[in-house]
Amino acid sequence: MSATSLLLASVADQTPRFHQEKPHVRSVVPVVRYATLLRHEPRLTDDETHRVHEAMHAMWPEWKTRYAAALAKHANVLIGDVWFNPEQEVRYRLDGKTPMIDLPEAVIAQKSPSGISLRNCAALCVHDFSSKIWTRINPVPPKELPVDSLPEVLDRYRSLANLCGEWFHSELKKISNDLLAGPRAANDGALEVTTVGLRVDDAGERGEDFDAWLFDSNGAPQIDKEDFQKFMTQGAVLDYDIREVAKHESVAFWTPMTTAVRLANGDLASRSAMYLVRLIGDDMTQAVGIAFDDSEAGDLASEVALKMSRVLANRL
Amino acid sequence: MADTTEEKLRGMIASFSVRREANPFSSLVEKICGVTFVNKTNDPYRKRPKDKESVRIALVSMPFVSFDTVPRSSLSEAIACPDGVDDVAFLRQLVSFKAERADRMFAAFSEALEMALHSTPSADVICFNELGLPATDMVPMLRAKKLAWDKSQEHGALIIAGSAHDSRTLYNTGYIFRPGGPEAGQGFHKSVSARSVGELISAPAHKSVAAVYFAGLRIATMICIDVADYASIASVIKVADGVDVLLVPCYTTKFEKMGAIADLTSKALPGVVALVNADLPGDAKVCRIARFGKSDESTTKMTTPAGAVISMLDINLSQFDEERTRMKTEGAADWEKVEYLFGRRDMPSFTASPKT
Repeated sequence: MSATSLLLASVADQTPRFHQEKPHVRSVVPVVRYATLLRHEPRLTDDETHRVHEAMHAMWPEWKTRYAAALAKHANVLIGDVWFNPEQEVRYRLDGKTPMIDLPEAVIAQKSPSGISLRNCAALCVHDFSSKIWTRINPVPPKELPVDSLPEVLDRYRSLANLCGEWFHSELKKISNDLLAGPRAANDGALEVTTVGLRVDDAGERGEDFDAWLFDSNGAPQIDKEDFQKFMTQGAVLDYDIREVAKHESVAFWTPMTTAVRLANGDLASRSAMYLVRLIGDDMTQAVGIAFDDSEAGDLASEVALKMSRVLANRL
Repeated sequence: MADTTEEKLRGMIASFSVRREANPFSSLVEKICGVTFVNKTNDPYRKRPKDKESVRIALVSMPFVSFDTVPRSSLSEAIACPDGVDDVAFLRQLVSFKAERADRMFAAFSEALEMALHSTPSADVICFNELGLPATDMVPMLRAKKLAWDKSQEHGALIIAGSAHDSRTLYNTGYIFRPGGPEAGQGFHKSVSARSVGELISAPAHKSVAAVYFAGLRIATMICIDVADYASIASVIKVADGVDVLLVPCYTTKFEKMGAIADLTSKALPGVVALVNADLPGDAKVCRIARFGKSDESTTKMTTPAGAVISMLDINLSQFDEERTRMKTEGAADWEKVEYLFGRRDMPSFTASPKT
């Protein structure tokens, strides 16, 4: 057999395997982003958002102790287990058109297997949308969690995001001298964007086919695939067959969302998550997505969650 | 605006369900070309420097130096041209700068580095034009490469030292010098020959666009007409969430024709695209800057004693992030054209729940 024939035979052997073998999920990286929505009437002004930031920034050196204590209490750890990134400060920036006040990242119980990274921020909308008091929680990078722990971890993250978000909101109201409270600010529901990165081993070219395990060429979800059913059901905590979303949800849609991640070999690769977006109760929007993640840093869920959050937040 | 959450969600469904056709070529570009970072994720120079609001990019246009075009063959001398194959297929034509011009080229290169690094504020990134790397006998000049590396270490600057035709490989190769990077630089290659100006080069079988994460910006670079090659540019747009800036060393008298490509690419990223040409006789411009779909001017322009023109491009990092995020979450006017060319990447596309 010639060298060329050998080469071609080798390619022929491998090609079907790439397309038939489903990605093996070795661990999970869940990211929960939760926001309380507030509508201001009349709208906030740019000047007011700067005043909130100035107040927050001035208070930070003392207030961070209170903040650490609250995080420790809600996370059920010692206050010494809460660490703030000293390279970060209370920052004012524009996220698109929206003024944002970012608190420094908090790392809670870093050395514990259940350690988390948490960040609170306030998106103070000066346009015709709601302001959002955000809490983001994920494992401390590059930590990955056991596959079986996903339901329990998501339950914990959601509960913690809710508690910490509420606490931060109540503090922000005081700090801003009731600028964000009172009759001017009305509750406008909630937004949750939960994304689960399904870590798979570096699979080389197979990564290009991951999308096909999540959605078909028309963008329709692969709801008959076993892993898709399992992880999406766990992520969204569905008590019915995921194939019956249309029957059970009053308003729901599926959508892929794509981003770019860096692979271990330095290549930049396009990867997607598939999201189910639905209305919960009267005023909560929930987006739950899963993504096969072969990135170097395990940051696909984090990256795509931010992108999805921005797109949804910009329309609520 | 809708009042209830349900109305807002239904509004999203209506807007996301508008499907626009994407050209069929856009879905396969990753199998043809890719973007690869030359530095590691733990490179300390990748981060945005603290207390630094802007990144300054110096676009260096080297003065025109006359050259010869030298024919070469990609076929080994020991091998005869196979029967039935036209030997034109093996013809390569490389630029050879005259030996007596070497010192002048090196002086211009050296002066430009000095002036850019000592401007106020100093340049963080320096990008020379295509064929701007001094060469002798169709081999990149070692002392020029050494100087570029030394300066990158000394000033913590990223230097894309232009490119040179190389008679050893028959490639048109550019070099990236970065603090903490290898002394020999990191080469990247042009993949398309500019046949209209007589360039005939070889290219690597593995088509790739080089990128470097530096000073908080993800900077990709490709050489001249590669930016007009659909697979190359679409492969960059395909991973545009990981690319902020595209720097394109050029050497062409037909520079204006590439301006529209720069504008469109900067919109599709969205981000900044800068083309840097040599300072050629005639009316071809020395550089073309496009920000978020619109052409822009350099902040300042200066000329070295040896005749190199330096155009400064300042990127305010906060404003850059703000505009990029705004465009990615809201879209922009005529976005349909971008979606047709490269596919939908930043917006959801509604899919109804399958009926059981």
